[in-house]
Amino acid sequence: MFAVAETYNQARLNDINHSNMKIFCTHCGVDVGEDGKTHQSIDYFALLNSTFGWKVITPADPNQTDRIVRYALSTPGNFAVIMGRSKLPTVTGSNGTPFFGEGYEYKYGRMDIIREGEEVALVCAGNMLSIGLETWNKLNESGKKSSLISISDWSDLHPEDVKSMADFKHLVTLEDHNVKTGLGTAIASAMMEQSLSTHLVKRGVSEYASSGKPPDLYKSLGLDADSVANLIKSLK
Amino acid sequence: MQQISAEEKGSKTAMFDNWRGFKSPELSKEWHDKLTEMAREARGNIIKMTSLAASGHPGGSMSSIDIYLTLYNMARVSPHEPWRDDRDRIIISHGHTSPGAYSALAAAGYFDAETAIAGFRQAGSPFEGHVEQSVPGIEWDTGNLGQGLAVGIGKAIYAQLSGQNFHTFVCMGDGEQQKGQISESRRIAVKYGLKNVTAIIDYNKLQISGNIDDVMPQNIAAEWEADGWNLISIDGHDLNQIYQALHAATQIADRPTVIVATTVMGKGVSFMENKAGFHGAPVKPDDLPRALAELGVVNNMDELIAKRAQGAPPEFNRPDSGKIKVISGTPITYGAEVKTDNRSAFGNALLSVADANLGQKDFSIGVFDCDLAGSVKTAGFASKYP
Repeated sequence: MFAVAETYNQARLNDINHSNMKIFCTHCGVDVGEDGKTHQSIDYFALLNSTFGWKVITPADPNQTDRIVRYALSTPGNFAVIMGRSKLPTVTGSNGTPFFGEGYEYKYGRMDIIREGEEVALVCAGNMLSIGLETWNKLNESGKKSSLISISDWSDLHPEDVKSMADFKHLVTLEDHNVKTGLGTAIASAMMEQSLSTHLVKRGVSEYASSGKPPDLYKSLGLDADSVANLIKSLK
Repeated sequence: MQQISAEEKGSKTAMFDNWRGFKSPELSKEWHDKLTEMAREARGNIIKMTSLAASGHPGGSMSSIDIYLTLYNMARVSPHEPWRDDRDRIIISHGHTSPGAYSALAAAGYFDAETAIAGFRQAGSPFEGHVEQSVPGIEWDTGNLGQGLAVGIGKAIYAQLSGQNFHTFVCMGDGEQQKGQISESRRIAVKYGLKNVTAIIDYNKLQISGNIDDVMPQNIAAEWEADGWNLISIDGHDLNQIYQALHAATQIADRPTVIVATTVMGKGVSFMENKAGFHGAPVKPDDLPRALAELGVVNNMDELIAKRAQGAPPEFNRPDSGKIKVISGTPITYGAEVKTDNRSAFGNALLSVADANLGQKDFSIGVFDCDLAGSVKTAGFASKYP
């Protein structure tokens, strides 16, 4: 909120001037929690995506954050790295080791497939991956095999990734951003431009949230693991 | 592409001409006469440019032109190497005075004046309506007012952090002083003791809707002084005073200077002077011969019209400013059992990258936060690299 919405005028001029600005936003989304709606930045992507140059990146966990911070600092151009304030579990692969740790190479603009499944893919933006993983585990326990995808780089969706997502019968996007103008909308647009389509359910922030603990706020917005798992189970 | 000539390209390591940098306390008689002549010609070019385009801002351009000519001719900048690393930075915050800036740059030898006049505000031309870096010598694209000082402060902090001794000059309008970003920037400059930045305000007392005090009462000089800036007030059309103020500003050892230059909008043409109407409107075609005659410049509008009809001038060839040379360091891996926040991982990575680049040539890192160092996890960096 302080780093993007309040400074959009300057960010725009920096983009016009091809600067090499790096913004690290540490308190984004409804995840800010108790400070309430004035402090909850849910427009960071929408605003910066209105420029041509700014790259918005939302790391999924501390390990990916580490790689992304290093990438942004050593790459020319304007970058906004968007983080939440909550503590997050380290995302692990199917083998239980850190997914974004040793052996993982961060490639800007590419999605990560965290769990493979069929028919339904849950696409998580940045820090929502921890809820995504919780959702996947619930679905897995109930015998529903879904895919779990993580997207950190909203500004440049790779055509091959878009194509892979279109192969699913249902796509559910989960983001801590205004649902009208976030990752789900960006994916839909990219898909149509490639003459592809699928059934898309967008889940994000659909109204200004209140003050409260982030898990409670996510629940009230239908962004918690139970709500998303139930949604996915209902897809035919 | 318009090329900077081969001879000029080869002068990469050339010293700046010895008159540059405001070292001498007085403007020489020779330069005074040269600048006076340039100013007369430039005022004519401002009028021709805006009339030819049938749009643009002649009034403020004519009030700022003596300042622009002094800066582009006397600061440590080079028309042959407009983007050399050690140049002084001249930022124009009131970007609508582009006719003045382009005319001054042409007078200082950056490009041919007629090219700028003919191509002003023409689709596809580098000579855009508000100053743009597409024109050699223009440091920063501006237009939405109130932002130039912050940019200048950024460049001055960069110089301070990286140990470079270039000076940053920020030319500003008086109307834009109403904008809040300027007061924020002023305080930052004083906080960091930026002696390497000077603001020059074109105080013509008019903005687009009329008198600046009618639009929004303010006390410009007192506000800058209250924030801790060294204040110099001058006649902004007296070349000696402009020069002496810039000399004094570059000699101050502990804080930034603001020069409040009292000027006349539309200066030089009797029927344009102190008329807010000429803020954003050119001279009418019927009045053009009279304006040019008053200035004693040649009326070659027919030639310029023909030149404009040939199409937009080509882009300038700007050298690559170079890649970012930052070592990304060794990644830190948090184990499967660890639960932490991304912001802490950011703080750790930031510190790790700073450590990895310590002592590297051309590396300096400035970290700014919003008064929440502990919360946004920049405190680790701040305690190690205060």
